[in-house]
Amino acid sequence: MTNIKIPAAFKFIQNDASIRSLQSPSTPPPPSSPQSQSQSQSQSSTHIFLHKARSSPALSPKATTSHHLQQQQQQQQQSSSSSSPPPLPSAIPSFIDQQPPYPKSLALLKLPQDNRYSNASSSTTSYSDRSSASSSISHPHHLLKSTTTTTTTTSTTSTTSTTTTTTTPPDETCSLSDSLTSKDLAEDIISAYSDQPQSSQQPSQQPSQQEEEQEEQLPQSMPPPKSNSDPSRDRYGFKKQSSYISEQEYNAWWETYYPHLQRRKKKWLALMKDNGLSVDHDQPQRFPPPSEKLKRYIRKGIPSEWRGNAWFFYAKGSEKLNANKYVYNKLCTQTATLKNSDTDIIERDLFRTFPDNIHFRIDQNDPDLKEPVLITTLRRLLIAFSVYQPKIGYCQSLNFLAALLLLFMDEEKAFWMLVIITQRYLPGVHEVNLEGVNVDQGVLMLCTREALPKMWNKIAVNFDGSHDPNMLSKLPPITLCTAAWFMSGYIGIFPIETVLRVWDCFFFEDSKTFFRIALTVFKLAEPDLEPLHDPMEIFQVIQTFPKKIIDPGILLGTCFKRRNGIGHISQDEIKKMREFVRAKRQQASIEALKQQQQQFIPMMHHQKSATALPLPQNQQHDLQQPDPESPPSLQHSKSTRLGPKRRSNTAATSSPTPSQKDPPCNDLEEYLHYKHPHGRYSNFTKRMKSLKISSSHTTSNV
Amino acid sequence: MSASTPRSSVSSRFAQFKLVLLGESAVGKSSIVERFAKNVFDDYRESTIGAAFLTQTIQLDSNTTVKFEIWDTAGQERYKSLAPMYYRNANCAVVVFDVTQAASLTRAKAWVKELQRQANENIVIALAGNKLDIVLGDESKRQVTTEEAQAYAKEAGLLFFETSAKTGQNVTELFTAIAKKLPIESVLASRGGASGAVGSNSANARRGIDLKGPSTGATGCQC
Repeated sequence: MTNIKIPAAFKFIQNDASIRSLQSPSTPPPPSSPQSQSQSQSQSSTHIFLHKARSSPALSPKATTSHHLQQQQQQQQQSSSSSSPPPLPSAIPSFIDQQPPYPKSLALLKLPQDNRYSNASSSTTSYSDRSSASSSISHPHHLLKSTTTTTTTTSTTSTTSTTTTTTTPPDETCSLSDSLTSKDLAEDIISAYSDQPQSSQQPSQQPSQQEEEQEEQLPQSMPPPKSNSDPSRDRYGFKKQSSYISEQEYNAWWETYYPHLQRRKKKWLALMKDNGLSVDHDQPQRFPPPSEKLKRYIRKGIPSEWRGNAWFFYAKGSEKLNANKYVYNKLCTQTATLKNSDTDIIERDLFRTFPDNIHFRIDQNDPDLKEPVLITTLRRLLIAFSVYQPKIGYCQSLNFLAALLLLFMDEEKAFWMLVIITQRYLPGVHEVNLEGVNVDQGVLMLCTREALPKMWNKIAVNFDGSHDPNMLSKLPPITLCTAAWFMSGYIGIFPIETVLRVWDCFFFEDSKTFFRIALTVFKLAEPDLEPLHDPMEIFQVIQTFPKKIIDPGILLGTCFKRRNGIGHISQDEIKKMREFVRAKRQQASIEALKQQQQQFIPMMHHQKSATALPLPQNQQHDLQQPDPESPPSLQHSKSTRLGPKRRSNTAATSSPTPSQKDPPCNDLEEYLHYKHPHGRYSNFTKRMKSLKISSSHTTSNV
Repeated sequence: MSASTPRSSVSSRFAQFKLVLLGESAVGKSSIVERFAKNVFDDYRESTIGAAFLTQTIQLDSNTTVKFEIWDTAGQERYKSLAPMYYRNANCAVVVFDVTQAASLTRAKAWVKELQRQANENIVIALAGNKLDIVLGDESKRQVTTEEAQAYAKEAGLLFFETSAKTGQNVTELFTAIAKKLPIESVLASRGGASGAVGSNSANARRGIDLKGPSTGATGCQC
């Protein structure tokens, strides 16, 4: 009977000590039968729990909270598995038959945690081995949230007994104590929300390991369980099959990719050891400092079970999180009942986020059709974000970024990662006017022009096949496609394993990665685009081509090849280009505004409309009164939009690749002048010019 | 790419038009296109980010084929700044609303207004009240009556259909009605009457449109 740690902000009891990093308690539990919920959870996750025969110290309170329940679930699951089809062994994905040639014992001993994400798991024997070896089964946050929500006991005694002093980090206790609520309130809350008795079984703890991780002062980062039971799904719960890749193709590729992952994991383990870094529980919190070797390793892929922590580490997530302790919890509490236009759109997007992923879809076998835990989490996170970042609010595509993060880390970390991505990595990209993404598309067009001039001639064209001289302010249509690449971080653009490899590099090397990857796609698509001339067909190839890149090695291998033909843009160059494009677009928009005002002045003059747009005082005097009958700006805009100028330019369409090597482009020339004021080309440009564009692709993994 | 190849047909008249889909988020724009282009439906589709582009061909009569280049757009308000890029040179537009969401009709009206003001002055606009299957199952869920939407469509000079991407009801009819209203003759005439083909000539189809003016007579609702 002990100290129950309940922040005042919390409206219901989370009977686990890692409450700090978790959910908005003011969100009531989903109106579903607790029993069915826990059962369904056990169905989706028991195999994983059995796999993960490790104890996560900082998580242990959580694990212990429902340890007993879990054991029951496991037993139920095991017994039901054995009695009802499909039995446990058959639930293992089919391709584990195609095991890598290392001895199973090695896999079990050396890489005990490897199978959280590895479909290539093991036999039934190893399942039970691991579960029995576990004194406290680690319990992913997301599941736990739901479990604790629905299984909170009516007995205060049993609830509090599940939380022990030793499970809460010492200074955590201090911090939390400020916001502790009274026991009475806790009881009220418990009785209000609980509907099922709960185990009061005391767990066994691993204090020494706990202490080690407590020092980190980080909330636990635990991904949700990965469903391995469905052979048609990958290790993250996504369907293997897509419109562009069949399940057979996926399995065939996986057979070759899995040994690569195993090799890389061993190399990473060695690297960690060389750096004196612990990989306890297969959840390292610290990673090696930047070096050429590390960069190479990251480009070849971070072990998936480490990804959440590694991304968080290299994005300096803990700095952000430690500077904003409890902010997320407060946000969640404040926004629990919020309703506005952002929450409205968030609501519509929740079930349109990874609808194919098992963790984001309603289990149709569940009689209550309860909301998946990750959907609840995603809602809370996105709403909190929309309030925390008012310049952004909610932008469609953030749902995908957040959802992918939630597959790899806990909710609070995912929140701060989303903040970091939108602030530091992709500034302005998701803001209300989407200017950041437009700027980045301008940058991408400049990069393409410099690195792949031949491709630029093909893709950076208008519908009639012509280059717009004001390419940066009037972005070519292809940017409608590429904008989504940046906004959603290539999620849904590439197959998921490829996305993850891109994200590995992204968090380590910054946003230049996205530009380089885009260029690589253009380059890889070059043979497909070669015979095409219709801008629409070209658009379609660019749109669908990335969806077929199932092998990350092809993409990243081409991207990071020493002589890759697409250059090695530095982050500084990206920064410089962003500044240039932003300024250029601002200038253009000011001019456009002036033109609009020129149109409005006569209208206002005639209509004396009180609702017409007011003109900024400081700009009015600059404007000349145009002829109301034919405002020049209007004439101009009409002629560019549908006027005879474009229409007469038919020749360009039939051969959109102009005969001249460097078609005139004012924005481009201006950029070159900006970049090379003394007429000198940078090393980057020199390289671009000197390198021979090779169309050969690497098929190996980097 | 799921469009049928026009060359496979024996039609001698072929024209290609650019169509843009607009409307509030989650009203079913992508689902309508999927139903039309691939004849499939998912209860939950991923939200569209940026733009998606598809093509589909329909056979108007034994010797007339119309190919739609369909631009499917993201519905969220902030993507509106990208909209001009979609409807630039569009020959036709489908503005979608959700019959179970009154606010979505308001948004649709705003899109119609913008199209009529900013887009090709001869653009053919169709209004589609989607998710008809929901209200057919439970009329109490309807927030926009057929009469209301139809009256608005007539007033604004739009084609109007109530559709269900889920069941497919009226989806093909919607696109066929648009195709019938498009100036195929003038496109063919501007090309010299030659049989078109995908490729270099397609741009001519996009360019050589000379409509007589905004459509005024709305066709009746066919549901």
